[in-house]
Amino acid sequence: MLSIVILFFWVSVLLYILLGGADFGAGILEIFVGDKNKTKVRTITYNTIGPVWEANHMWLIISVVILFVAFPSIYTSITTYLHIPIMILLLGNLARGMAFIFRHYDAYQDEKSQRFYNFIFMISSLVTSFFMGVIAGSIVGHQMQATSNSFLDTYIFSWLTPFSIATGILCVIVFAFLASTFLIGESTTEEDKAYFRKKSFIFSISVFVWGGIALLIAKVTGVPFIQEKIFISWSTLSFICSSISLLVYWKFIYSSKKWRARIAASSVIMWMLVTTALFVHPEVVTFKDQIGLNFINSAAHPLTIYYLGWALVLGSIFIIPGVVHLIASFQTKS
Amino acid sequence: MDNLLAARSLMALSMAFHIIFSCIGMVMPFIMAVAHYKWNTTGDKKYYILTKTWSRGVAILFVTGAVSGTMLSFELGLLWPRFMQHAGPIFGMPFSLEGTAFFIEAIALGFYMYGWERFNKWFHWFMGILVGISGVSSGILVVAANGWMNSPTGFDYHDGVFSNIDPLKAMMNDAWFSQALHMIIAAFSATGFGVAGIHAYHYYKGHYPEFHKSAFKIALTIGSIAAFLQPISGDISAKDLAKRQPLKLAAMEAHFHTQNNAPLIIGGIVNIEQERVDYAIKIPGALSFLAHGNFETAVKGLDQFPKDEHPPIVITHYAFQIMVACGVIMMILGFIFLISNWKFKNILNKKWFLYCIILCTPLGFIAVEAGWTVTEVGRQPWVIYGIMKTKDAVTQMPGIQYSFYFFIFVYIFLTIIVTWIMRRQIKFINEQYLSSKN
Repeated sequence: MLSIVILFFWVSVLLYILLGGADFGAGILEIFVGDKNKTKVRTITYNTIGPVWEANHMWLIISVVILFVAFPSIYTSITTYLHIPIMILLLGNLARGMAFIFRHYDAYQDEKSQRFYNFIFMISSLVTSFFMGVIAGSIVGHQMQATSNSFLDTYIFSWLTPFSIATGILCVIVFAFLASTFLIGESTTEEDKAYFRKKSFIFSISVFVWGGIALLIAKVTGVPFIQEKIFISWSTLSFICSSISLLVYWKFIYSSKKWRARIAASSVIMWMLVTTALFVHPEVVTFKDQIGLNFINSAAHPLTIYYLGWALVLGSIFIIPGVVHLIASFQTKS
Repeated sequence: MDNLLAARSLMALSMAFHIIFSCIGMVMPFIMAVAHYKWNTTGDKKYYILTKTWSRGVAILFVTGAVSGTMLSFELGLLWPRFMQHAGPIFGMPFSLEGTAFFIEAIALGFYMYGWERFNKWFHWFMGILVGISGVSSGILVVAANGWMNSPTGFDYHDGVFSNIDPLKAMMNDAWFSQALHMIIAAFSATGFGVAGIHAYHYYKGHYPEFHKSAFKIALTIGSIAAFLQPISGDISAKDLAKRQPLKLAAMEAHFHTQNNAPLIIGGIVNIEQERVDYAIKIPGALSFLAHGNFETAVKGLDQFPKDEHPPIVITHYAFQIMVACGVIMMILGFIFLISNWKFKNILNKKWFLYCIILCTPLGFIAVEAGWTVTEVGRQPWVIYGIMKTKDAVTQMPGIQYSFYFFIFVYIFLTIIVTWIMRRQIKFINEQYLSSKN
């Protein structure tokens, strides 16, 4: 049962990165497109992401619940050492959700309030994504300092490090990449398609370039996994898979079938996630100054895992058809 | 402000904010479904406008509830890591089921909000009902988790070690039923009265009368039925509490000394030093009757328990009195409404009645907040009753008071902006009506 729970955890994380990420990315894209295209992005976002975004964010809840039920020491060590970035993440999430819903459901669509909502939406999308990357980077990058007695080391420099900042920026780029790929398929005119295709192409290159820079920063600042494992392991293979997916993706963005590019882009990101997980394997949560935690040594009581596994399996029988049907129902008809 | 108090205050603030939106999120779909049903069957345009207006409001409030709930799922760990370390695997079962329920709710809401004219009208209507059903299920499950904190079971505890964990038994703890029943009914009466009060105001002012009148009737009918049922569930809770947490019951009643034929105290000022309640109305034997079903049975007083395990008595007692007072007022008004609406039909045109309903708009929510204050403050100093003290659960991270101050600001700002945006919704409908009339 433990392996089922672990599988569900990774699937939820992946789906959150892909679906929730595309969603955050739509807000980030708004910042990076020129004024005349902002409305376009907004309209498409509203029509396609509006109905599904709540459901997309449920994957975060599922991941968190799995963590605190099944792997309490992972959950509590993350919430202790990364208290501050998580607080910022939550605040960003709060602001973003509210701004998104306000700008569409405000009864009066006057310019002043819309400008305010848009501003909040864009900024909070950016900030939330950035801190999500910071948190992820700190967890996998041996950044957290558990045995230090100083406030600064424990609660600030556990995440305010060059590597974590680099992963924060990477996360922003990844989300923008996912969103622009998603929006190619939702555009109705050829002109819009070409526009998002170009954006998506640029972001796809940025993902790899910035990914390289992040690795370089890791190397320079002495993140352990880089020295030991980069050239010799399964992670190399999965990195190659990611690169191949990128090549496939470059071919598919011109395809008339919108799901091809999306699946290829998702595959790029999925293999990046796998590569990262393999980098830190067998640990999941890493520390700078002590041995990390993994799913085996932090697993809760077997009966808890057993019931959680069943709850997840039974839950997914209801959830997965619902989500698929929901997403399919609100695609732009081509 | 020390860290423990700051963490408790921040948790309380987040809960107090979240609970309002969860109540509305649970109940509004059902209120909406009535209007939607009437639109589907009668084709009266006003019900269509009503359903749509409400659903836009629900979308806004639902999101507020969802994001503030996401905050709470993290705050458990951010503020109480040592509690979650042990409790997560034991009381996590309802949370994992709640994940599914919440997911279904979000999916159904997506279909509902964006599904007008897209799907079969009854499928669409059913999606609205499904939002409500899964919302209520989430509510029951979360309350069951809280029930475990009041009535911990499903594990053995020796020298700080939790063993023999049984999550199912923990979920089906002794407190879940009475607490969940009380909460769900409270949500229905609070939301019913809240919505009715707002529409009563606009009806009273003469804005779009037939629209606000229909809205008012639907909401108040549901709120009144719930308010009428609530004392029954309150009685179940009291008897349950007398068995499980007699100390909490004693604190609620400011019942200092164990005695037979214990009186029920109404009003008055608690005098902690002298251990008595001054200027109160005392109904002899009533507390014995409510707690044990017999006017003579002894009710345990605070003197039966060590002083260092007493919860803050003044807060618990006053919060309880406020909750009961609000409940009684809503019950009386609900009774008047149900009877006269059924027999005489003209109650809605009586000014005094509209005044009362308008004044009672926030009453149900005040009762909900006060009730949760009783539950949570009344459990102190324990976070897991009898097992773990709140002070042993708090995070080691210093400076929580700054988060608290900051979030006070955040929640005040959100409250203002949500209120403002809801007002705009109604203003918009009223203006549309006026312009269509001219």
